[in-house]
Amino acid sequence: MIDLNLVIEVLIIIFKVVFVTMVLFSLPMPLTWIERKVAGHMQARLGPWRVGPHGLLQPLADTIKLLLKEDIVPENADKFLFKLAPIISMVPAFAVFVAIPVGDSFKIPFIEKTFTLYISDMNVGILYVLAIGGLSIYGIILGGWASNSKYSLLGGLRSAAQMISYEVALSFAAIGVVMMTNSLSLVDMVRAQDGGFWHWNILYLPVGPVWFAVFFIAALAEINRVPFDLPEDEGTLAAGYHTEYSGMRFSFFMLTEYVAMVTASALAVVMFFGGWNAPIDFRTIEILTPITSVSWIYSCFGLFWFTVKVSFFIYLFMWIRFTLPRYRYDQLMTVGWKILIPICLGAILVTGFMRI
Amino acid sequence: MKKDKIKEAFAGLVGADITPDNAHRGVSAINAPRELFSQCAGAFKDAGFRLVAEWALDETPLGRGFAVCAAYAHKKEYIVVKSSLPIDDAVFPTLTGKYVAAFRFERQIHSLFGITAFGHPDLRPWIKHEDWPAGAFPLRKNFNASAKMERVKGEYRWIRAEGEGVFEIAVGPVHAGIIEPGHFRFQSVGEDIINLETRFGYVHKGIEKRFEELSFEGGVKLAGRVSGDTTVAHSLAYCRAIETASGSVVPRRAHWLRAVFLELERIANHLGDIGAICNDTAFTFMHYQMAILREKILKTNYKLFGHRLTMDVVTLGGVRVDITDGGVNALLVLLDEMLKEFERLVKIYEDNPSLEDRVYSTGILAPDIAAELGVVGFVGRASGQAGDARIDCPFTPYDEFIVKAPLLRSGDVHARAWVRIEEVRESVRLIRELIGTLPSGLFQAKCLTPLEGVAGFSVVEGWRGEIIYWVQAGRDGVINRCMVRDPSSVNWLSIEQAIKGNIVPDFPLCNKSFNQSYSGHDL
Repeated sequence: MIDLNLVIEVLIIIFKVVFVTMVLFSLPMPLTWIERKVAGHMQARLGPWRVGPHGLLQPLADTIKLLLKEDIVPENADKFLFKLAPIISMVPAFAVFVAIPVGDSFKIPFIEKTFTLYISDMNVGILYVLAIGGLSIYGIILGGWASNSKYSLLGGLRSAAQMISYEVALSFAAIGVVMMTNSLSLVDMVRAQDGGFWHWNILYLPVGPVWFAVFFIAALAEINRVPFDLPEDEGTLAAGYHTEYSGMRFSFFMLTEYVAMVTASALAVVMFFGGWNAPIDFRTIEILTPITSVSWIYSCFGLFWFTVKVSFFIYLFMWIRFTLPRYRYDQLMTVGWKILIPICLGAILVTGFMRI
Repeated sequence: MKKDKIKEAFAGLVGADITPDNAHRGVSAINAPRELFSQCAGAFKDAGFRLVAEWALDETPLGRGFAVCAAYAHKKEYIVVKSSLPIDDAVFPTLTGKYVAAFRFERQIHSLFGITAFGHPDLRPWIKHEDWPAGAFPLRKNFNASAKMERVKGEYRWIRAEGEGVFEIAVGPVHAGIIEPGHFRFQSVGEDIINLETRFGYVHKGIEKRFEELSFEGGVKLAGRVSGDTTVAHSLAYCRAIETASGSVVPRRAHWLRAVFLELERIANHLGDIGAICNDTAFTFMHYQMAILREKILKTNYKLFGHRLTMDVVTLGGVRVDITDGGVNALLVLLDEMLKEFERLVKIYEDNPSLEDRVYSTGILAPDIAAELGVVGFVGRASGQAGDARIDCPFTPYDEFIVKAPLLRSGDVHARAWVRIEEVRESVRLIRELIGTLPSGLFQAKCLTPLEGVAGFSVVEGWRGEIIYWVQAGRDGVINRCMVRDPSSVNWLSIEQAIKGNIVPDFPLCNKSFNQSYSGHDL
């Protein structure tokens, strides 16, 4: 006899995993369009315009182009690693999303089941995110190494040095949040920021903004975006570690970068901006009680707020890309080791005293 | 007054067999026996002159042999030293012991003329690549430029820094983006550059040879295409050389209009490059904003003068197009709008700390090195070399205006950008003054043909710096030799010096801040 409960639970998990994967796979398409539009308008251009209304079908055309492109593997490349690298880079970027909560749990109507808007609530969520997120770098180093090209290798090495340096600052920022919320679980972190925007970690004065600044700078460096996009500095290194890649394999790297940007935005929201919590707690407003008391409607609200906040950060990353100059390699290292880390050490002390 | 400095230079050579050369117009010139060629250089060096150019010529159509010339300058004093060489013994003493800039000039003479600079330590081919046959010297009169040459195998010997952990990065000749081809080879330890060697010749088009097949009239168009971004300055320098050689008079209105074109070209290029420097720090905002301003100028050029880059508007004896009253107003309105927007952008440039981190103290060209190399133009003015042909040897109409040339000594990327920002402001002011005092009358007159054997010399301050043309008339109204010296010929040397000790990612930024011409150098 099959246990119906178990079947439903398994189905729910499969549904969530498939859904998240689908979303992540398709997300880069609108994101490239948005990025190019943002770039265009910031540079007094129109951006994509020809394929479809307002160039909306441009990403589709790009995808088809990438799919149809000849798959080139350089002759002297390490072929096995060359093919493996994009996958090693992509898988962790997706795996990180297991721990990221996009909304609260709710009871599914008619069947007595709880549906959680996160795949897993690990009690070490933040550690998991940092650990798995850190794995991406292997793909980049291997890609740079296996290409057997000096531009790729230099790009890969720069990337490695940069990501390792900034991982320290990023982990410190996570420690700060853990100290403020008393939990390693991302879901608990969000719950701790419940009840209006003045409870959000960003407003945990005076250290909240400091931790956020550290986190944000480190995250920019981790996802290799301007002003820290040195691994793919087109002026000096062709395209950095993915110079030799083309077609689908190249698009895997690009996919990874966009997913990483979404991850960084989601983490910023979860850690500092109250996750799915609305800026004002609508449950305290009595007129709205009939609506907010229905758990699935309230969860949808949560999803809405989460999406809005994440979108804002994605836009912020693009905004920065087109308005800031790139840092130089040595300056990047100086910022990482000589500025961010001392700030972190100071902030830990202050946070510690505040928590006593 | 004018001769004093030259007299001083010759104090040590009194009694030597040096005679004045009366075949030159627009410059003082002397004939020196080739034994004294190098000694003259020493005398000029001691008197503080810089080497402007060094070139050879084949005078067989005029019934003579080969000759080698060197031009020196000290402020407004230019002098050409010419030495005749017999065809069967085409050797002259090298100037490399006196002037660093002579290195490449003499390599060029060696590869294109087969005339050897005796004592030159490095006679690898320059501009002419190693796949040419050994005996092919294109600038000799007996070389048939229309014949097809066989391609030979050869290898260029690079000067390499070697050692543990030193590795080599090759950049170019084909670059990303719309720039000309040139090869840069670095040796670096980690990210630090310890040596850079540049190599050009990829856009060698045989321009100097082509001049010799053209009439004086036809040369104007070619001169305008020596370096596409400097078309006005090059054709102006060519025209002035011919006009000086033939003693033709140009109407005053034409002089004024030529200056307007020259300043418009300066503004357009400076705007584009200030943006491009910012773009190389990934500060794309500035790039696009500056590009918009540049585009406005080009569009106005097209509307008023029929060509976006005002190509072929300068011609022998004057200019090809006149400006109407409506055109004057349109130009003034454009300048007002442009300057207002430009000042707003300069403010953003100044106030951006991340940009400051990149452009300050990057790619420093020290003033003493700049002086040693004889660097000219905005690169020189950013490294303490106060030279501007509009001030030092002003040609009409600049002799009636006071031109302000900014001078900085820090020699970094910022200095080069800032000199250009100041020059944009100054050029706008100059154009307003020029238009305000525009003389009425003809804008073109007939240009005479120079007499056989007469050489005209002209100096024009293009946006990159001092452009020199030396045009010698041959028999039957043809050009016997046209020597073109774009500022790039000397300034390219300086980037190798400026880049040392910088890191690889700063190279594009440094290179963009110099932005020398490949085409004007390769010819």
